[in-house]
Amino acid sequence: MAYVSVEQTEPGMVLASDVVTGRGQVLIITGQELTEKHLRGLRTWGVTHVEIQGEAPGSTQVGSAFREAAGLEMQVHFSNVDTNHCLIDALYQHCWHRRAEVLSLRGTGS
Amino acid sequence: MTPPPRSRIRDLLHSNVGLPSPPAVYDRLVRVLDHPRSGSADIAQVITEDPSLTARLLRIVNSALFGFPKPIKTITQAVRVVGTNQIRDLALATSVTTLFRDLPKEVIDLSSFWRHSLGCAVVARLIASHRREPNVESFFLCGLMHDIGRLVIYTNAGAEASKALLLSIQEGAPLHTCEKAVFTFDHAQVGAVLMDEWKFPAMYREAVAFHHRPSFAGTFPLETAAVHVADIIVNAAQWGFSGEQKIPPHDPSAWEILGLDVNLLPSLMEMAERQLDEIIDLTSAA
Repeated sequence: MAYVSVEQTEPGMVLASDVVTGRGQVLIITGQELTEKHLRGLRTWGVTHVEIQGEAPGSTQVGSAFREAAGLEMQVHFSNVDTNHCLIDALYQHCWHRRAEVLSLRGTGS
Repeated sequence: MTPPPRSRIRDLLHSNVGLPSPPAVYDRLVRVLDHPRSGSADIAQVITEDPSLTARLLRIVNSALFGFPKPIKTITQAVRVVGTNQIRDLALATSVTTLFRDLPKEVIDLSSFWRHSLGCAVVARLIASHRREPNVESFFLCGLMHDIGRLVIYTNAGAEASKALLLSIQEGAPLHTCEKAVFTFDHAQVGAVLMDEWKFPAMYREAVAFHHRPSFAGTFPLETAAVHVADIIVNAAQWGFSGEQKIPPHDPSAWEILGLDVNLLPSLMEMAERQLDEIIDLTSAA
C-alpha cells in the first residue's frame, strides 16, 4: 500500500482506500482501478493524495520496511486519538508517509 | 479544607522564581489603541521606542508569512498595511518568546518548546486565513500562548513537573491528565490564570483555558477550536516538543466548527512547515 500525491497517479493503479470529499462523501471506492476519467475527477474535486495498492512508483523493497517501521511508530503516537475521524485519518496518512521518507533517508545514509 | 484550584494556581505562579513581567510594550500599545484619537503614527511611535522589537517586526512583515509584493520599510507603513490590532498582537507575540529564558535543560528544552508553540501559532493563523478571518494575528497569538502554563509549571515546580512527565510516559496517558493527578490542576488552567494576571483580553484566556476541551469555550469557540486543531496537527507532525509523548485527545466538535476541507491538510502542513522555519529564524535573531 502506498500513499501518493495525485500528480503521481497513473491509470491502472488500484485504490487501497475510499476517496472521500471534505464532507466525508465517498467519491471512488476501495478496489476501484483508476482510469483517466477518475484521474481527471480527482483534480476537479481538489483531492491531493490517494492510497493505492502495491508500491508507490519508484519505491523499492527497502521502502516497505521503512513504511512498516514508520507505521509502528504512528500506531503508538496516535494511540490516544480516533483514526476513524477524517482529520485524524488524513494526519495519520500524511505523517506516516513523511516519517517513512525520513527513516529511509537515514537508512540509506543520505 | 483544600483551597480552590484558582488560588492554588496563583500560589504556584508567585512561588519560587515568580512570574516574568508581561512584555512591557503591550500595556503601552493597548493604552494607545484605547485612546479614541490615536492613529497609526501613535502606535508606530510606541513600537519604535524599542529598536529590537522594531527590527523583528519589520523582518516578520517582510517574510513569507505575509507575502507582500513590495518591501515594507517603516513601522508606520506596517501598521497601515497590516492593521493596528494585528501589529499589536504581532508585537506582543515577538516579545513573549524572549521570556522564560533561564530554564534548566533537564526539565524542558526551551527551543523545542517554542518550536511547538510557534508551530501551533502558524497553523492556527493558516486556519484563520483559510476561513478569511479579519484578524489572523490574534489566532497566531492564541496558538503561541496555548502551552505557556507549562513553562510556569516547569519553572516554579520542576520536581512535580518531572513527576507528571514520568507518569505520562509510564501510563501512556496525556500529560495534562497526569498534571491534574499530580497538581490537581493542569497547564491549561495555569495558562488561563497567567493570561488574567497579564490582563490579556478574554479571548486569549478562553483559548488557552480550553485548548484541550474546546467544547467548553462559550464566548470564543472559533479561536479555541483553531488552537485545539492546530495543537493536534503540530503534535502529529512532531514539530518541537512541549511535553506530550503522543497526540493529545481530539474533540471532533472543533473540526466541525472550523468547517474546513480535509483535503487542504497536506498543503496547509507544507506551508506551515516553511513558515515555521522562517519565523524561528526571525524570532531568534535578536
